Amino acid sequence: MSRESPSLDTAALRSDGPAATEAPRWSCALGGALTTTLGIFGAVPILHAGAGCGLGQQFGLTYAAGENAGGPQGGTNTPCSSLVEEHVIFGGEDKLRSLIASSLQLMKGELFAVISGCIPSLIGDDVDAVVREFRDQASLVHVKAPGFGGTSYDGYELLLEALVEQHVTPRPKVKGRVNLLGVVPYQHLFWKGELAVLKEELAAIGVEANILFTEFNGPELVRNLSEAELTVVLSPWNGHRVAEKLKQKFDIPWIAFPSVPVGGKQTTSFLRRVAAELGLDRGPVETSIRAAQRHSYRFLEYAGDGLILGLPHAYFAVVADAGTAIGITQFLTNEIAYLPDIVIIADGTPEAARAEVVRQLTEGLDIAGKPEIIFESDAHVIRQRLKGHHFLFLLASSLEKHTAGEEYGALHHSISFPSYDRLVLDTNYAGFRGGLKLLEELSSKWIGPL
Amino acid sequence: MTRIHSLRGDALPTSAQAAYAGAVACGEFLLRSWKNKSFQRTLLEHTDDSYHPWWYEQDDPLHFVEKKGAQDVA
Repeated sequence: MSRESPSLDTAALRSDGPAATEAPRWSCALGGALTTTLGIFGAVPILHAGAGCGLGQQFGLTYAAGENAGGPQGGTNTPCSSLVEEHVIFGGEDKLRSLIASSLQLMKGELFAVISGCIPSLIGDDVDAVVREFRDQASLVHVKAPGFGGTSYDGYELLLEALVEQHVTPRPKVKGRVNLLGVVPYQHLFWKGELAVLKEELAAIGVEANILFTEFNGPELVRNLSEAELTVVLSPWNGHRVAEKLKQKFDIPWIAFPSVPVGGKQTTSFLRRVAAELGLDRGPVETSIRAAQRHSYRFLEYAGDGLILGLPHAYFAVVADAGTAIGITQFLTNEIAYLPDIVIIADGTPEAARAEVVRQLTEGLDIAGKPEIIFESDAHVIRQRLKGHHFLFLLASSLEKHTAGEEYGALHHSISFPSYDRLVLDTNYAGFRGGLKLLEELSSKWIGPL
Repeated sequence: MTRIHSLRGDALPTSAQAAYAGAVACGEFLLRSWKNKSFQRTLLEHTDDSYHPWWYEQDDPLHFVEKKGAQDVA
């Protein structure tokens, strides 16, 4: 089988055209700050932006994250100053002032996040001064998240940094408490289930995880961030800025894992590392890990005939954000004995984090032949780069769905943003059982006599 | 794109089982199986055997075959 990639000069494709990306797999900084706020039950977003800025995120961000609506906040009920030309000329501070006043009366919530988009950032509204007027009435934070300032991944950092700066105060450390960061709501499709599972996996070894999102005491969890002994980041680059800020402000050390752990091997090393950092007694930790391993591998055994006789050692390709790509590629390679052909990292991973991503996808794989690894976010270029490879599974976004069979002869499964072709509420691949779930879904693409 | 039956194969080139294409696919299948044995190694490590250990320690694959007749012939 030819292992050569198709002759495609992506630099040439880019150099003549404008610096644009076709169908990027993220939204803007405002979108990230908004959806990160939505992850915190009890927090209310107040957008200081154009009217379309919020609704656009519903179609382009929350629906794209496994067809999710906003929840109690974040739908068409999102408070927004809906700035128009008049405000661009005369300023939007008055409109924001009346919006905050009415939102505090109307919206149920304990923590209000004022998110400034492109317009106030361009015209220079003094949003901090307006927000300050309400600080004696409610808990408010202000975050500048203009769309031109970054992607939704940046918006996640900006919102959490603003919370840490403006809302979190020093508290005594609680023994055995850790903060989990790096799972970006909505951008990481399976965020809800992943966080719940990891909280349970850590509880099993006696560690209390503050997962911040998806729990009904969100604002309290925000304030509890300063109580942790350790921050655990589950991404090669997301959440690092926030973790560093928590370290500087509250002296909380942090460690980073390359991904949310998928399956037995990754989860085992994750739990062992956290336990070691916290100085836990190894005996009970190992007992707990062994019990979980025994269960997950006995249940993996039921897939044995399928993986030995049915479809063993299938080549696969991945197009995903860095963390998801690493977790899934390592699991399928190191536990299922599938063969990674090409991995495309499509989340705009910064240069500084790329060496570690490559290391995880080469040294981190228990196999002689390594996959081709490409950092590329342009949907068209990704489509071209997949050509000429011979993979049977394409784990990607729903953007790849309709060309997967025709162009690559591959079975497609949506595991990364954007995925408009599946509903994701609780599904996830995290932890000891997560690998089983991924294998169920992947195998269900081909099994069956008819 | 459903794999119909392992004997009839399906439309994938790697699943061909007849003629020259089948021979090539068979070779390809063997190559792939040598590239990664992590599934087998992982389950070997983490799942108990179903046979008692003595079975693996003795070397007669015909241990349970009636030997009386064979001895009579000898």
